[in-house]
Parts: sequence; structure tokens; C-alpha cells
Amino acid sequence: MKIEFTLNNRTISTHILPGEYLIETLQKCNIHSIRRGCDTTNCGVCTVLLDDKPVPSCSVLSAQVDHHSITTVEGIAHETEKLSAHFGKEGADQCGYCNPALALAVFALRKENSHPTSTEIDEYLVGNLCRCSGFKNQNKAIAAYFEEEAYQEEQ
Amino acid sequence: MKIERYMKASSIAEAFAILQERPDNKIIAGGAWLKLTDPVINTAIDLSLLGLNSISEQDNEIEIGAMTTLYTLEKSAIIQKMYDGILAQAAMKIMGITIRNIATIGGCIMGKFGFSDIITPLMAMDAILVFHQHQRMTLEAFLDSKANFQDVLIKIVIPKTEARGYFHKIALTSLDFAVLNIAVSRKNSEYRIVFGSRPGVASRAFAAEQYLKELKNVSEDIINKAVDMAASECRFGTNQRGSAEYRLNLAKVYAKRGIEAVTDYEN
Repeated sequence: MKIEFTLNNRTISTHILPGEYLIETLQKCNIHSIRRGCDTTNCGVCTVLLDDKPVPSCSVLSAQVDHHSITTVEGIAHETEKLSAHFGKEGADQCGYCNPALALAVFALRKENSHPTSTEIDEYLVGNLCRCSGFKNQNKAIAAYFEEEAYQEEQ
Repeated sequence: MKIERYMKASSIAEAFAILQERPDNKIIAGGAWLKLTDPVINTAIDLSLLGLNSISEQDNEIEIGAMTTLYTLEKSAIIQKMYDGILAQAAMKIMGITIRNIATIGGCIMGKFGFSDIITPLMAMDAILVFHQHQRMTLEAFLDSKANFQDVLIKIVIPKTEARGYFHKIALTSLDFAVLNIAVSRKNSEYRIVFGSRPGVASRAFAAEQYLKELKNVSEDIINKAVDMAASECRFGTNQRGSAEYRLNLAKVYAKRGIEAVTDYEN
């Protein structure tokens, strides 16, 4: 079957199988930032934004995104770069496998809540697992990113 | 899993007609638990074009479209107000936001999942299901119905009322299914005490509810007796998340806290 959707502001028209999952379609579209983890919605490493909301691409059928918009980390490169700088400063990075998904979740959080507390950050990201970091430094890095963004908005 | 055909229904009647064609034609709801269910689906029926994803307040009831996501539920000011917000609390404790953005209330109900954190508070809120063919049916009647229920769930209706509510979920981690969940509600003298993830699907403690209804005031002894009745009335089982004995003990502790909360009882 044929679907059409917006991927990082580009229109994609492609043929899919009825049971094909979004992660597979995106990989066929040369999106390499999406990682396959648990494949059962638990780990969050396959997160993409569907109409600006974070969803697990391992559990969304490609047919469901027909005429919708998908954003991957390639579509928010500038924001990701800013967040990455804070990850570096706080030592929040190790293997980096979960980072693209985390960046997308943070981007979605910012759209909903531009001044989250530390607890709100933790609650929003509960579905984005990281096997390396222990989450503390990630939380600090994300909080610092929000602080800097808020400061820049005030200027 | 294998899906032979995918169709976005243009009307509820069309979705129903296709559902009736074959037993392996399935409504996919948000698709969140699809991998846990049927390995082969002939026609996957998508209801996303039918406008069933909103919450509205009517004169006497709240209507929740069957395709409303769990994240929409938890963020809804209407849902946060009802029964002290137990349905919103239950939704926000389910795994991560990514899955709550796709999982729908209708999917949670139609799966009759034992682990469901949504069925438990809905039962405590006297939820009524509205189907295309079966029309109105209580949630309990639906759960008691035979497993292969080929109908289209359109919306969930909750009677508008002043009521108190309590919900608690016990899970080993934030991303795990519950070891046990419990909802307690009080509407005037009517009580509901519901245990879910027992690990079976949620069930009510009717005798304990009736016992509390017949009493004008609560006391420590009355609450303890109601808790014992509730815990002995519901069956608890063992799975990898907890033993029957552990669940029974949890049920007693949290049923007591629930009854105390909805009666504002302070020892």
C-alpha cells in the first residue's frame, strides 16, 4: 500500500506493507538515528515525534502515519546540538545509543512546558531508558538546557 | 506479526461491517499492544478518522471517545476533577509518555487485559460503554461477556456526580505492569472497591461495598471489617510479579487507605 507523510518537513511518498512498522519505513528512508531496542514500547530508544508528540516507532504502524508529520532528530539538528553541549558539560553521555530519542523527548517537553522542574523532567522521560548514565547527569544537563533557553528568550 | 490488509474506516458502520466479515479482522485502536495480541490479522481496522478522540462534558455525563489517548486523559481538566482525578492518576502511571501518546482508552478496555490500570478506576466510576451494535453496556457486563466480542466501542460514558476517589498502583518499576492496583470510590453512601492486576482482570468487592453502604458512620473497626471482607471476596493469584499472598497483603493495606481517603477518616 502507498502512504504519504511529512518527514522532517519533506514530503515522503512510499510503498509499505500493511504490517510494516514506522521504524522499518524510516530506516528505508535513510533515517539512521532511530534505534531498535526492546521492540515492545518499553525502552524508548525508537522514539520519533508524530505530529510533535513522542511515540515509539517500533509500535506505530507505518499505515497510521499516512498524512501525518514525523520528526526525527535530523529534523531538529540545531536544538539537538544545543542539548548535546549540555550533555557534554555534565558528563551525561556514554554510549549515546539513547540520545536521539532523548533529544526528541526533550524537544517535545519544551513545547509543552518550557520551565519544567527536575521532577517534571524525570516524569516526562520515564519511558526513555539509558543503560549507562544513571539518569542524574542527564537530568542536570536537560535542566541546564532549559535554563539557558529561558535566559535567551528573556534577552 | 502479520497484517494482510489495512483500512482506515470512513464511518463506524463501515468499521463494524468489516469487523463482522471475519473473526481475524481486528480494530487496532492505537496499536500499542498489537504485538502482544493476535499474530495474524486479516484486516486491521483503523478508527482514527472518526473523531473518537475527544472528551466532552454533557449535562449528566462525561463522554470519552474510544480513541482518546492515555496522555489526553491524564491532561484533561475534566478527568482530573472527577472522583478526585483517579482516572488521570492511573493513566499517568502507565509506562512512558511515548506509549501513552498512542495507547487509547478503548484499546485498554477491549483487550480485557488483566494488567490494565485503566479498567480499575473506570469500574470504580461506574463507567458505561457505548457500542455500535450492543449500544449501552456496563463495563462489568462487558468484562463478563464472552471473549470474542466483535463490536465497535464508540465511547465511554461516566455519569457526572460529586464523588470521592482513591487510586493506587503497586509496581516493581515505573515501566512494569502492576503487581496490584486498587481503586476505591464513594458517591454519597455508595462505595466501590476494585482490585486490578490480581493478576486477573479487575473485580469488585461487592459484599464489602454493601456492608459500608448500610452504615452511617465509619470507625476503625468498621473499616477493618470491610477490608477483610473485600480481601477475602476477591481472588488473588501468583505470577512472576508477585505471589497471591503478597497481593492479598497489599490489597488489605491499600483498601484500608482507600476507604480512609474517600471517607476522610482519620484515626
